[in-house]
Amino acid sequence: MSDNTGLLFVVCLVFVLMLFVSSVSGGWFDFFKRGITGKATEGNVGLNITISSNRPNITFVGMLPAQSITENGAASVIFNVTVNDSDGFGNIQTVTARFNRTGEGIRQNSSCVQLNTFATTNANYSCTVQLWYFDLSGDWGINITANDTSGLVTANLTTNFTLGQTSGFVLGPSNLTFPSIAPAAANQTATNDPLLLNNTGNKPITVGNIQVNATSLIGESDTSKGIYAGNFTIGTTTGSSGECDISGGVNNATRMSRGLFTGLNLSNMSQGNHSANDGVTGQEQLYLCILQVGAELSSQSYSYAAEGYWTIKILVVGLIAGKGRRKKKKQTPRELHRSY
Amino acid sequence: MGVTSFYWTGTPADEKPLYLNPGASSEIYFELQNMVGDSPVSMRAAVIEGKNVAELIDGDKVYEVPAGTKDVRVPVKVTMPLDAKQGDRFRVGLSFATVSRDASGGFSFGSAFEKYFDVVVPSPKPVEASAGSDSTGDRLRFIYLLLIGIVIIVVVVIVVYKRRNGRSR
Repeated sequence: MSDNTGLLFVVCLVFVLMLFVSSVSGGWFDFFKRGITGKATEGNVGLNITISSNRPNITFVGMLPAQSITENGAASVIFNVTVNDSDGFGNIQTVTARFNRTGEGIRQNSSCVQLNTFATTNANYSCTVQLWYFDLSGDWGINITANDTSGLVTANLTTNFTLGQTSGFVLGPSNLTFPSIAPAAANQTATNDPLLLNNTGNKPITVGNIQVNATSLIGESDTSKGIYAGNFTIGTTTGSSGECDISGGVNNATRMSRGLFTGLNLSNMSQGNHSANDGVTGQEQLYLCILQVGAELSSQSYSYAAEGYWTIKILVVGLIAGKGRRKKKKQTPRELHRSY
Repeated sequence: MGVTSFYWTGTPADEKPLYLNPGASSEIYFELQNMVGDSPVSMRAAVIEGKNVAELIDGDKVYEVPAGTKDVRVPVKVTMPLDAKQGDRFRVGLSFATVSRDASGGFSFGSAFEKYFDVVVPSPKPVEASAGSDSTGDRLRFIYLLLIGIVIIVVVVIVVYKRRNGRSR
């Protein structure tokens, strides 16, 4: 009986050991397969083993707070990175930083600058990446790559930051002029338009979201006379008085209203590098027209001095305006009772 | 002129709402830029939508934005109502406009901007599947293995015991 007890103990022990020992195997019966064991088919084996280098590690990427573009220019984003190489910091060759965002190209600093070293294996780097004014807002990823002298590369993709949304534009010329106009004249167009709007931010402005608040031009000598705001139109086309055409056709110019912001038909402003100066990329061209001048006008200068200048406004509003607007809470019978 | 915001409306994939729990407040800011041209600009801000949740900390202040600056801050205090519920969404709109200068002659233009963002009561975070989320399956597998092992051991013991008994007879 003692033999049986011993046997039972041994079997249990082996089983318990099997539970705790990790094993990797193609299968229990691989041992019997021909392909596993046997004589080598070739006698010569060439080995080339390099053991001189370990891959560098990026151990720290400085957290970036939310960033903003620089209107109409480039903004430098500076941050620090720490790289460790167990073969010594002298083994680290280059550290590269890239920013990326879906729908945008890569913004890159091809070589970060080493600031200092410590503990024989670590080096701090300062990386500077430029963002352009037309780079889209949202979440940008940071990709750091470190190369060592043996060509080993490590990439780190773990950090990101928010790029704020900037609405901006410049327009010119700042003053528009009209030719000498006879009383009762019609369809008079400005002499120095287009009024060119350049998008200096990173938000595209969609149709209807460029608005103009017009004021009347009042006589500088006789303030009882004026060219009324409602007699002005703004269009995106010119030639054959296209900017005066408010029939709703191809030209579809927009008639102004005094003291009210009016959305301009057909006008928009994409986000992009407006230095292309093609009238489309990051730009909008506006043309002004006076539909009708009053017959009562006298000969004098008319200006915005009395009523203030015209204002061009760009709206940045989502496509889902009002979505999920909170509804008034429905009162329970008890609450209704309390309210009386 | 430019106005930068760090919260904005947009498509669901593009928007950047401000998440606040009921009763919570947060101070956010907009940045005014004047990086084009060489003249200072004066701007006035106003809350035009969502006055029940947002207020300008500086009130009716006129902000002076010198040429070449991009960081004149317009602070805004946003407070989520106490009785707001999960998923409630409040739209906040602000306008920024250049303040009229003395003018004479001709025909000139000022600039203005409207910017909007949503303030949202966050939903509780769903339980994320972690690396250890398969632990129940692992445990079951272990128990099955243990049971099979026990059965095998019992069978082996019985067989050995019977053989020994047979020999001894």
